[in-house]
Amino acid sequence: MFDNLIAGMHVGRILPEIVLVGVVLLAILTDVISPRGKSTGPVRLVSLAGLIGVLVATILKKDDFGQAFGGMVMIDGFTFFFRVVLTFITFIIIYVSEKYIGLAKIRIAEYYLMLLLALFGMMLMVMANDLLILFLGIETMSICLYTLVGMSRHKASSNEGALKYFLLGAFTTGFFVYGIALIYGSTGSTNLTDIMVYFRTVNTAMPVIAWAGVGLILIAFAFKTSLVPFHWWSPDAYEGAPTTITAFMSTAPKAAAFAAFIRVFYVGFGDLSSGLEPVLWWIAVLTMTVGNLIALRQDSVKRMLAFSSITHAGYLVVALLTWEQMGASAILFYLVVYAIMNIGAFLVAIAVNRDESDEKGYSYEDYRGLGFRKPILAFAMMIFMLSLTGIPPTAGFFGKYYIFSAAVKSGFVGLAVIGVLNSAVSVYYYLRVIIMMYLKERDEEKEAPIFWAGEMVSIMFICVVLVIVIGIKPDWLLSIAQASVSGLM
Amino acid sequence: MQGVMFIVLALVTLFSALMVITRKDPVSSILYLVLTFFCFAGFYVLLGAQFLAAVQIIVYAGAIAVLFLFVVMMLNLREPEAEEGKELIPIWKPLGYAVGIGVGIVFLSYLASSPGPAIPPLNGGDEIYAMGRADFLGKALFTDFILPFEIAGVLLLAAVLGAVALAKKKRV
Repeated sequence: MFDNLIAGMHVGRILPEIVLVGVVLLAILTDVISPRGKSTGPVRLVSLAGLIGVLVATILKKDDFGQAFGGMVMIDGFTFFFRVVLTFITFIIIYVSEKYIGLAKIRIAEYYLMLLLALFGMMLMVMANDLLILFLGIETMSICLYTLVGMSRHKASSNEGALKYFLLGAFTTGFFVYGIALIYGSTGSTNLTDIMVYFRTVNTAMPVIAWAGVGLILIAFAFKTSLVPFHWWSPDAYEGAPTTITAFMSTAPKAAAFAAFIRVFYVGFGDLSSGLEPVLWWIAVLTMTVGNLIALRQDSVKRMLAFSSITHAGYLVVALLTWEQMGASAILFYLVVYAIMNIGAFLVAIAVNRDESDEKGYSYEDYRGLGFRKPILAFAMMIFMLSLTGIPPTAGFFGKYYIFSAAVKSGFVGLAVIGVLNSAVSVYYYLRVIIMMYLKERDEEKEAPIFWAGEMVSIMFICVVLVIVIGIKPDWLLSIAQASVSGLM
Repeated sequence: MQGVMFIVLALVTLFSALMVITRKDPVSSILYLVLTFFCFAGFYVLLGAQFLAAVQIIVYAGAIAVLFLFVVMMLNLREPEAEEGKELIPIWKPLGYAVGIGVGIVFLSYLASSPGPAIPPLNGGDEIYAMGRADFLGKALFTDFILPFEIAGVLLLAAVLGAVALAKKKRV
């Protein structure tokens, strides 16, 4: 009986996650046995090697798809895609961080441990087929992110961002758990497949209590993906966090949250799409517009990127609304492209920033005449800004193109028009950086030295190359994204 | 035997609960609160819900009461001074008596009018009683819910590491 029980669980299917927890424990041990105050280097190496191990484990299990642990988690192409993407992003952030965390005065091993544990939480989120697992995944990720945001304890902005993020996050947890309870109360299960079956059978006469549950879960997702009007935490958290963490937060957790969003709303609540449509429509419009309008008025590049990431989340909701394979694959494509260009942009911002201990910092003024001072760095920033705007031949263009064409094909022409108009508005603040770099005179007296690290330069280079390559030849990435979502619907 | 235990527990509970609200010193008030929590755990055991009893002790008597203690000690509350403590807001005391007596009357009249709910058998064999037993919960935790159980462990590890990272002295 016991053997049957173990065999039915398919423990092997979560091998990457098991490896990851092993890596975390190994990294903690490394921290303990390293000489005091000098543990970050060894911990970083262990983490990087471990993440390669996680990647190998993921690829080893590439063909072993199916449910595990009695349907609690679902390992499919979708999970595989996000496992690889999230592991890569975490790898990159850990890889580039070592010199920066010295500059930002947060050189402690927990920085790396928290990133690894956040990755564990995100991996759970993308494979969760049960609201219980999803909840635990979101909490694991969030607790690590609260800590990472507040790591620069000597900075008031860091403490402020972390506290706001933590308090609002705690409220969201309440919303989410209450939503799960109501869904469980009305459907009798927390399993997404069971929930789908229930909603399919009672579609016409759904109890109010189930709608309330769906609504609360939607609010929780809106918070985690920073959609308007649940976005207020994100600019402060993004600004206060160490910049490498800002780059991380705006890419990996966002990707994981959208992955869970897609799975819950396409699989679990798939039959409620017509009822949810007007709500998501307004959320998409508000998110795109509000994020843009506030980003226009920022004086700090870091804060501008934070607000613009809200806008980008709005574009993703447009694709989500289509409730079709095409929209979902457009989201996957966009998430990868956005991660590449955003990490690149934040790395340039770190390099250019005047003084890391400054509470504000990251001013547009730092970019004055950069095109003449550091032509290659300025060129990289220009590519990232053009890509974020969505101008061909960069990857960002195709990201937006796929999203809006999916929306038009599903009949959301108005939404697509609003999205394109918002893209036009975003030209203003992205091009402002380029204008600063190329059209303004150098002011040699105010120039601060550029912060260089070999790791950062290599990642920047790779990001530039990828943005251009995907911009010229996007089909391969799109076909991977399409194959990944095919099992979902 | 169980009847005697119930009466002893009930008396201790009432006594300690009264002490919680009558002590002037907040620290001893909280210590009596811990005793009250322990007595509740005793009731749960009598009802056949051992797991609930264990959770009651771990969560309430352990974690929450200790948290209270820490907060009270950190705030460093002094004893209310005699000359000032003379009826700061005179309305509160009669109001408290009135509410207490009112609730008491309602409660007693309810007891007098209805026979009250049937008292469940102390070692009931029903399914619903089995749910609260440690072996039942243990089996569920280690079979159907093994994955969430293990993940909760990692979640706690993350929380501990995060708390240490934010609280420990800087050595940069």
